[in-house]
Amino acid sequence: MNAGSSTNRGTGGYRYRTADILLVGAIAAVGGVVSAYVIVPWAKFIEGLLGPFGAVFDNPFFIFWPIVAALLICKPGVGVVTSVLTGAVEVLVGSADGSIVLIVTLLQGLGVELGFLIFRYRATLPAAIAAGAGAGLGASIALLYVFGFFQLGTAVQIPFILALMAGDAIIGGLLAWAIAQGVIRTGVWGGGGAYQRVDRQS
Amino acid sequence: MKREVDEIVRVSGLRYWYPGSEDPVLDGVDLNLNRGEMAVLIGPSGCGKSTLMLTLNGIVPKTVGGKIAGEVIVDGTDPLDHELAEMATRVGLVFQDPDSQLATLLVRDEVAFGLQNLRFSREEIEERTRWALELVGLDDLLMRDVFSLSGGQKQRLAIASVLAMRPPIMVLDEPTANLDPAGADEVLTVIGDLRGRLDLTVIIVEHDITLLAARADRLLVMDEGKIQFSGTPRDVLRANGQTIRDELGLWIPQASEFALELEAAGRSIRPFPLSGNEVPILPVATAVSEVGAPSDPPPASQPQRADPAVLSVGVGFAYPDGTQALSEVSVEIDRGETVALLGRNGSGKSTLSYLLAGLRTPTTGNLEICGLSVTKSSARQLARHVGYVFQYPEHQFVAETVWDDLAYGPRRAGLDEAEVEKRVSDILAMFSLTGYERRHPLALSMGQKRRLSVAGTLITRPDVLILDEPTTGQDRKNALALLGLLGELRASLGLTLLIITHDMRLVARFCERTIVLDCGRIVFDGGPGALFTRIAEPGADDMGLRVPDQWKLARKLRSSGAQVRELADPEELGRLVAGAYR
Amino acid sequence: MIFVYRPGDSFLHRADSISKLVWLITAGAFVLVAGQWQVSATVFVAVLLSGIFLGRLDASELLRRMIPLWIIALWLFCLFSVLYPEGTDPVLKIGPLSVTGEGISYGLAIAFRVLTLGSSALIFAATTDPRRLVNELISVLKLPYRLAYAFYSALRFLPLLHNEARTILDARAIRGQGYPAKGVAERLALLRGLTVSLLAGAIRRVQITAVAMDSRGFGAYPTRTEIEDVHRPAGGIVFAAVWVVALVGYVIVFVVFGDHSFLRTPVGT
Repeated sequence: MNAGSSTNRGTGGYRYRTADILLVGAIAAVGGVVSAYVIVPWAKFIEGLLGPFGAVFDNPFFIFWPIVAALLICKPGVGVVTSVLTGAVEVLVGSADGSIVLIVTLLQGLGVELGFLIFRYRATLPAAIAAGAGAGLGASIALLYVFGFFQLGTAVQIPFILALMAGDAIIGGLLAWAIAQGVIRTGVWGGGGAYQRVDRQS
Repeated sequence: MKREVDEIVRVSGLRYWYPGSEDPVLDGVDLNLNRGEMAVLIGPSGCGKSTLMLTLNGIVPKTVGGKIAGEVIVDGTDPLDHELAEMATRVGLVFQDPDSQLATLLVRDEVAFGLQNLRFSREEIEERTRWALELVGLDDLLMRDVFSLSGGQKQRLAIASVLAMRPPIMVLDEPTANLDPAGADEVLTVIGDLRGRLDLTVIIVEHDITLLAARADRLLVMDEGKIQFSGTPRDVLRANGQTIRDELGLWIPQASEFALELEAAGRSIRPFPLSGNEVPILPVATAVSEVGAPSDPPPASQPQRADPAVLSVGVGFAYPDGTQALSEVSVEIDRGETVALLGRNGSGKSTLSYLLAGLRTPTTGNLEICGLSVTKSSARQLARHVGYVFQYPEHQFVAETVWDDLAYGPRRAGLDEAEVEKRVSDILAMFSLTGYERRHPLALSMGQKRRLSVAGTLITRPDVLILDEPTTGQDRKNALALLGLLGELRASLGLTLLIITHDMRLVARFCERTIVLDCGRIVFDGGPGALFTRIAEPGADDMGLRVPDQWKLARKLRSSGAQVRELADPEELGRLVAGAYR
Repeated sequence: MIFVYRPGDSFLHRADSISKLVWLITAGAFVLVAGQWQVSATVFVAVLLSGIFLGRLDASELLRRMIPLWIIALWLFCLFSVLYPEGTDPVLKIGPLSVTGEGISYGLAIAFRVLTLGSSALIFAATTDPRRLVNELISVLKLPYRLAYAFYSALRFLPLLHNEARTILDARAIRGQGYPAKGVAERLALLRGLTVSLLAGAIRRVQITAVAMDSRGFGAYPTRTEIEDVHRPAGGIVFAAVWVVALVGYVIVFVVFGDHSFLRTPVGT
């Protein structure tokens, strides 16, 4: 071997490590179950009271899973895949909302991607908030469409979209950021990266 | 330069730094292994054992990053020059956690996993799958759901899945740490079988070599990133047993501890014993009883108060789906007693402990804790009297910093901040956690987490403390330190202790009473000595338990006339016997 | 078992999951573009019948699981009956609000839409083995197996999760958290703590699994040997095809014949 050091291409960058793939699945599992069993009852309650506008208060809790995932694994695609998988888990676990969940999670996942894309996939608070706003945009459009609220005119549509974007950005984005920070501080999640061969000087 | 065919692993001057770390975790490791050998690697937590094993197939440093120097040659290849996938056919790794290391949902899929990835043909995969499952004794479970297997079965499955690729080397990292004694036996038996049937080189990393010492060809002791001792188990333990036990803080076979005490007095036992069976009956004079002081016996139970710690009459518990987890459990535990709760996995120990903690309510019978009926009292009232230390400390932390986690209980109890501060500082010092106040609990080391979980439970001064496997998986030093702390607090706080454990050394050393459960019923309730006597009877049902070597030794000595305590630990026995030879 | 899937031997159980997925998407698309409530209603009934007869599902359990859907559907129906802006044909007056004929039509359309979207997914989930779904995504749709493993990882994780969550809640309960929590703040703190604990636990496990998988050659090649035969009974494919044809037919017919009612639902109008 030659003296001196040489760097080998490790597994950082944009390629998914095995651990990344598994973590996306694990977060989707956690998210799907917590959503289905904890958040949905809350959502039903609040939407029962406030109607669709209640979504402003429950949607943030649905959307922060893909944002947390994307904050931990800063690679393209994490947001949308986690979101859709979370929806898939909810469906397989028997959520009555069925395909509605799938449509919403797809669009909000794309919104999360958009948010992170704008901030170049860096795990920062502004990125989390932008991702939340994006998710809110996606989710609101999906909900408006599916529930036929587009008929109710722009007087209803625009405030709804904006409210959801704001709610998701602030509550969802901040919450995701707080939780991701909590997890990072435990030190259990380490990135990979290239390794260096540091040979002994003879 | 042709290497010897016999040498299958060679590590020279290996050094490794984790990313961002100043100090190397591996600091000049030299290691040689020959084909067909079984080596056991022990060392204190954090010494780098697992990291070292991961360099053998290249996971370290390829997926982890960091800096590496030195040479690793495995089966003639350098892992850094070959793909991970290729190394899979040379080194197989089995890990500690049965649930986490499995990648699939079916037994068959798990065994085929590696073969599928490596694109073996379908016929080859089917044949090797059957072969591997047969070798580990799981051939009739081909299409079973992985989650329905027991711990021992899961570990055997992990072994099969690695064997399927026919690597000449198999590495197992603490394979029995999460298993009960029955499961551990299963795994070790399989490994023994495999060595007999295949030409397999095996490295097992362990924190306790008691079970493996007699079977291993080589004992490697690691500390501070280097291999400090290497040789046959007998040689290494005879020459360095004291250091290994006292300075490195590791478990060594009790028979060896005994022999080391004798060695110090100039009396050697040859061959150096690794288990109780290898200690011959010594001609010892009856006068030996005068020498030496017995270790502190557990404090006698306090005089009966009006309300015992636990009063259970005909208690039963059934799950919603109808499975009866406990039946006819009637027991009375007085204040101040230290009770070990024993039994196989699934015998009902955990369920009973949950009932005693007020976390579940019995479906039949009456249960009173410190005089409070569990059905009539609120969970909050009960929690004031009972503390529960869970098996995995991670589950019970409630705050983001060590300080807040400890302060949680007292604050919730309404104590004023000055008192809270005092208690927290005191307990930090007592549990050697001063300086870690601002850390996140989950960022602590294993030992620290364990101490924090106990501290957090004790800070509210409960009357009864229940501990689930407090010493499992720990080095001797940490385990004994924890027991020491518990012993002190037991005395000063008048604690009643209930300990769920598989560790018979702990039972002998620390508990004055044992309650054994089997299939949801109490099958034994008495002192440890009586329990061991009963299990040791030929043909008796061992109820999933093992007799500790120290008791066998004591019995042997007593049978030759020595007056030693039945529950004396090996050092005490050794000192007493050595004293007889002065 | 945490999944709603129950093993069985019905037509739908035997059909391959990709065909069922196509059906699911088609049924959903159908009610999303259909403007007339009669169409949505027909689709809904067709979906229900498929589930009950082709899937041999217990009708009462299915309808029971749909209770949240019934409620939403009813709620939406009432909402639109009254609030539909282009209503010109008042049928009923309740105080200041008037129920219009168009409103009722629209309300019904949306109600059946929601019912279809929910029930079709329930039927899919009840007749599809998740493991088989992943395998077929890989073998039929040629999804790269490494990525499909994210789904697999979720499936593997769910049973563990349930136990872990239970233990964490118990552990916190004994320390004082989780008793009737005082209001929103404490409940949020509990939720946050639970989430961080579950996530940290997930991360720990996942890293071990990743090492165990990488050590066995995971990802060595873009594809891997398949050891399970994929059964794609013709019946399932035909079933899906029929639905697709129906949808396409509907779209064409109504474009050709000029009833642009379906154009009323998306953005813009």
